[in-house]
Amino acid sequence: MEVKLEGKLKLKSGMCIGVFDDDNYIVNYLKTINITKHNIVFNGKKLNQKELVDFKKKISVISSYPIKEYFFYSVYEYMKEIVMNKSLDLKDYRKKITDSLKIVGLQELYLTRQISSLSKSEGALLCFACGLLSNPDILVFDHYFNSLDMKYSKKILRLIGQLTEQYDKLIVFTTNKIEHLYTYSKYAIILKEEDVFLESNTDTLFEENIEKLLEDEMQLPKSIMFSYLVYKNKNVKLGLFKDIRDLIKDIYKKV
Amino acid sequence: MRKILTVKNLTYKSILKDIDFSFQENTFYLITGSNKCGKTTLIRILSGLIEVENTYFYQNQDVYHLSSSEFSKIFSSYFYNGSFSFSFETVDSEILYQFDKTSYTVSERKMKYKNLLKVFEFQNKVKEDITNLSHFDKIKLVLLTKVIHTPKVLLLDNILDDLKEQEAVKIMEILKKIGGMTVIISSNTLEISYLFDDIIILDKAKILLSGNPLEVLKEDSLLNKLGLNLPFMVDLSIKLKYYGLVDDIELDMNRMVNKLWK
Repeated sequence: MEVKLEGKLKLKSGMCIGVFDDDNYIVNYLKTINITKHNIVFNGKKLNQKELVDFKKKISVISSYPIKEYFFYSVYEYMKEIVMNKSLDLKDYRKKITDSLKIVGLQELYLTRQISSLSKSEGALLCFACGLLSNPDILVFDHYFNSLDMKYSKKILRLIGQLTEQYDKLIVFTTNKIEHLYTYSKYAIILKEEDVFLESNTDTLFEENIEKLLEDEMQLPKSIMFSYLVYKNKNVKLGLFKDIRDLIKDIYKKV
Repeated sequence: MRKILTVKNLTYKSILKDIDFSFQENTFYLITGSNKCGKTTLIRILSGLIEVENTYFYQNQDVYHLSSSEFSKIFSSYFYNGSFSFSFETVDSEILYQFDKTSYTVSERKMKYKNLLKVFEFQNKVKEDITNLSHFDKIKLVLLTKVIHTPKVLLLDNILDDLKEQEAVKIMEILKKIGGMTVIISSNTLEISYLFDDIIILDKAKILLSGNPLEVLKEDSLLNKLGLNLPFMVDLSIKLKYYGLVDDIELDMNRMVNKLWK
């Protein structure tokens, strides 16, 4: 599956794509797809107005906070409201609700919990479950990992991995933290002023563009910045590692 | 430094158990821990939203028995939940509305308004439509409204987590410039923990560790087990110390590079 937005931003299924998007361009764009204004190519075909309307139904934008107006609802009411509001055509919506919760690791007893009583991570998982209700082909996680610790982030990434590999979903997460982009994505896109500044497999993107990122005053992941400073100031070439333990081993060899 | 808040034997449902802690005046505290450890619940108790009797004291007074006006003079809190609800359209209207709730004289107001705009760097944005502000500016605006009445205790839940590191650092600089407050912030991340005076790590309903951040962060294996990532330079320093390559935590990258390759 492949989507091209405004002839410039290409998104493909099969791997988790991270987008460094300080201006919230992608989420704002997808939330407000205007059938007369926007230019979207889906699987090689430019979408006409009717197809754009259908395309919107394939997308779920997942934030990490349940919508606050529903703070007094139970989880079940909240999810049922989403099913009704989106006019989802589900054979058995009650089963779909419990199945969606199960997929993200929330048990049935969550159905009677009040939204306001959920912790941040539970709220984030609930939003993920809600995003699955419509069986979307495209899931966009909107600055999702900011409120999750490492354990929960890894859990979500495992789920995302299953969705991309087994079900060929197109999954994108947007972030304003370069460390998240570096650590969590297989393919990375850096947007600047609503345009693609750089894109590549994540490791390659950072390995090959350090100077370019620094020239444009963009952030670098700290481990890469450190290796770069060592090379620039001491002419010692350290490897670029995501795991700090590998970096330490390399430093030990070369000190 | 004087104790300003004391929590004695606090137990709340199964979320917090036997919490004993004292907060000092004019000190910055970070409450952190893995997801679902009780950070927000503790902040809600400290901000008085969840009431507990005979357990939580401001100086020597039971917070439960403070009058509403005493309470609102002492405490200010904000719980970030992904969105904002401002009352007015422009920055200046929002700020001036908060001044109406204080008892400042006209001249005090003018001076305070000018100072706050300067500290929060809003001088050129007073007439700006709030909806056009960046997320960072919205956070700053919320904070500005929360410190207008110069509270003694400022409690902030989750306010740093959606910010980039340099933005979070800026928020801390602003709060320190204002001064005169005990600031208690809860966060999922240890990214800027070294900027606080004290960290409290919660785990399994109790305080697992507390103290000077750089000392607490030395418990790297324990913190990793909780799912917390140490700040990069702290993590690097601690691990290099095991190998005898450095003596202590170094937060500056350039200095670290010079220490390692003399």
